[in-house]
Amino acid sequence: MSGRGETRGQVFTLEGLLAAIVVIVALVFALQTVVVTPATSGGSASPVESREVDSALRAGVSNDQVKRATLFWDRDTADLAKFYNTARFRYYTRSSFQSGTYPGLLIALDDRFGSTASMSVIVHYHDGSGAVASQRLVDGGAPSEGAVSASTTVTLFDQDEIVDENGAPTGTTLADVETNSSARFYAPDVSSSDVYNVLRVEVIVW
Amino acid sequence: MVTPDGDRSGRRPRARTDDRIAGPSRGQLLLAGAFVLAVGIIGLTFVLNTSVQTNTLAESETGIARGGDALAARQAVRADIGDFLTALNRAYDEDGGATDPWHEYRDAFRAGVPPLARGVRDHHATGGRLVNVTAPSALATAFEDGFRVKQETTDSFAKPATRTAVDPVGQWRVVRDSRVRNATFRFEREVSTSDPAFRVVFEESASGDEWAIEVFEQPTTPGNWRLEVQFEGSTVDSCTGPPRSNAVRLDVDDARFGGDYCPALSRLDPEPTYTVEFRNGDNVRGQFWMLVDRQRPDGPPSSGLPPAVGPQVGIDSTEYERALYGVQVAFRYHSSTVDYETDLVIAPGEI
Repeated sequence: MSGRGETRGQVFTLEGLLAAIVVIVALVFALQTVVVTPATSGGSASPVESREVDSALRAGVSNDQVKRATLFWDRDTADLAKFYNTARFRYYTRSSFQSGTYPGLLIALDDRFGSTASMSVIVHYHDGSGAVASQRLVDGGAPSEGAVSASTTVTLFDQDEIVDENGAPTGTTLADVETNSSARFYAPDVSSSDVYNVLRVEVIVW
Repeated sequence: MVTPDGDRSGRRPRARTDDRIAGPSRGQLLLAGAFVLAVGIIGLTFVLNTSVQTNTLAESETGIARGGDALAARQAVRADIGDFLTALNRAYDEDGGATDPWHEYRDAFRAGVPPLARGVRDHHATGGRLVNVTAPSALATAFEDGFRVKQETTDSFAKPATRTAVDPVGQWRVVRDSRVRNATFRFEREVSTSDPAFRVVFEESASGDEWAIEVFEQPTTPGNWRLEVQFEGSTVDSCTGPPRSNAVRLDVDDARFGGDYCPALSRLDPEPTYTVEFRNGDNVRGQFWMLVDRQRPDGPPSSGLPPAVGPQVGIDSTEYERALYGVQVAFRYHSSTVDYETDLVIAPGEI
C-alpha cells in the first residue's frame, strides 16, 4: 500500500515538474520575443525621428535658408574656395553653430538637434558630365546605425548671388563666378538657360 | 451495517469529484492545464508582438509611403519655380517693339524648365521616385502676364501728375480690377502727423468691400511707425514698427513691417480681383513696388484712358514695366506607393 502511494507521489512530482517546465519555457519564449521585437527593424534607437528632420528641412525651404546655405561660399586669400569660416577643410567639421557667421540653416538645425544628436549636411549637384557629385557642407563623422535623413531639391539660377558671411548677397552672381577664371564655385553651370544647377541638400542626423 | 451514506466500515465515501482527479488523471490535468497556459502565453505574446511591430513599422515608415515625400517634392518645386520667376523678372527687360512683348520672359522660362526638371528628376531617382515638371504647351494656360508697377525714387505717394502742384491729389487708383503680388513699400517719413494718414486700399471688384492698410507715425515722443489693417473702415488689427526716425519697410505678403512679423497683415484678405487705391498719398514719402496681373490683353497701359476701356494699370499714370505674374506647370510624382499628378499655379507672394 505504501509502495503504491510512493510511486503515485513520484509520478505527481514528475508531472508537476514537467508542467512547471512547460510554463517556464513558454514564459521565457514570450519574454525573449517581446524583448527582441522593438529592434526587429534592425536599427538602434535614434535621438530624433525622421519626421523631425523633414520638418526642420521644410522650414528651411520655406524661409529660403536652404538656398542661402548652398550659396555661403567664400574664397580666401590662399585662393581656396570653401564655405565661409571653415578651417582646414572646405566644409564644417564642428557640430555647434551658434553665431551669425554660419548659414542660418545650420544655426536652426543646431538649435533643434545640436544638444542631443550629431549631423552631417551634404549638397549633391550635377557636374559637367551630368553625373551627380557631392560637396559636404557639414561633416559630423560616420552616421550611426539609427541615423535618419531628409533631403530637398534647390535650384540655382545664373542671377543668384553668392552671399557673404552674414548671409547678405555680395553682388557676385553665379554667372559672374562661372565667367571669372579666378573664381570657383563647387557646382558648375550645367545649362545654357537661366538655370545654373539643381542641387539636393541632404541632412543626416543621428 | 451499510448506511446510505457510508461504506461497510461506516466511513463516508469521498466526493465523486475527488474520485475523478485522483490518481494519474490529476497529473494529466495539471499537464493539460500547463499546456493551455503555455499556449495562452505564447498567443498573447504574438498579439503583443504584432501590435508592437505594427507600431514600430508605423513610426519608422518613411514619408515616401505616406505621401509626405510627394508634398515635400511639390513644395520644393513650387519654391524653385517661384525663384525662377523672380530671377526672370530681374534678368529681362520688356521688349515693347515685339508683337508679343512678353516673349522674352516666356522663352526664357520655356528654356529653363527642362534642365530644372532634369535635375529634380535625377535627384529623386536616387530614392526610387519619379518627379517631373513640365510647362504646358498652350500659352494661355502656361503664363500669366503682368506688370511691375513701381516708384523707385523716393517721392510723395500723391498722384504722379499732380505732385508738383500746389495741392497734390492724394487719392488715386494705382491698379484696377486685378490681383497683386510682392507688394512692397518703403516709407521714408510722414509729411504731417496731424493730417489724415496714408492708406492703401484694396476694393473688391465683386462686392465693393474695402480692405485697407493705414501707415502713420505715432505723434508721441519717442514715436514709432504704426500700422493698422482695416475692413470697411473698422480697425481689424494693428502693429507697431521701428522708431519713426528710421525709414520702414512693409512687405504685405510676407506680413512684415520694419523687418518683423506683423500678425495684423496676415488678416488682410481681399477677394480678387480688386482695385488698389492710394488715399492721402500726399502725406507720405517713399517708394513702392508691386506685381500686377494683366487681366485684359488690351496692350500696354497708358494714362488718360477711361477706366471702362483702358488697361487696368497706369490709369492715373505711374512707372511700370512688363513682368511675368505667374506660371502654370504640370507636376508628376510616382513612387512605389504614391502616384500624384497636379497642375501648380505659381505666383509667389500673392496677396
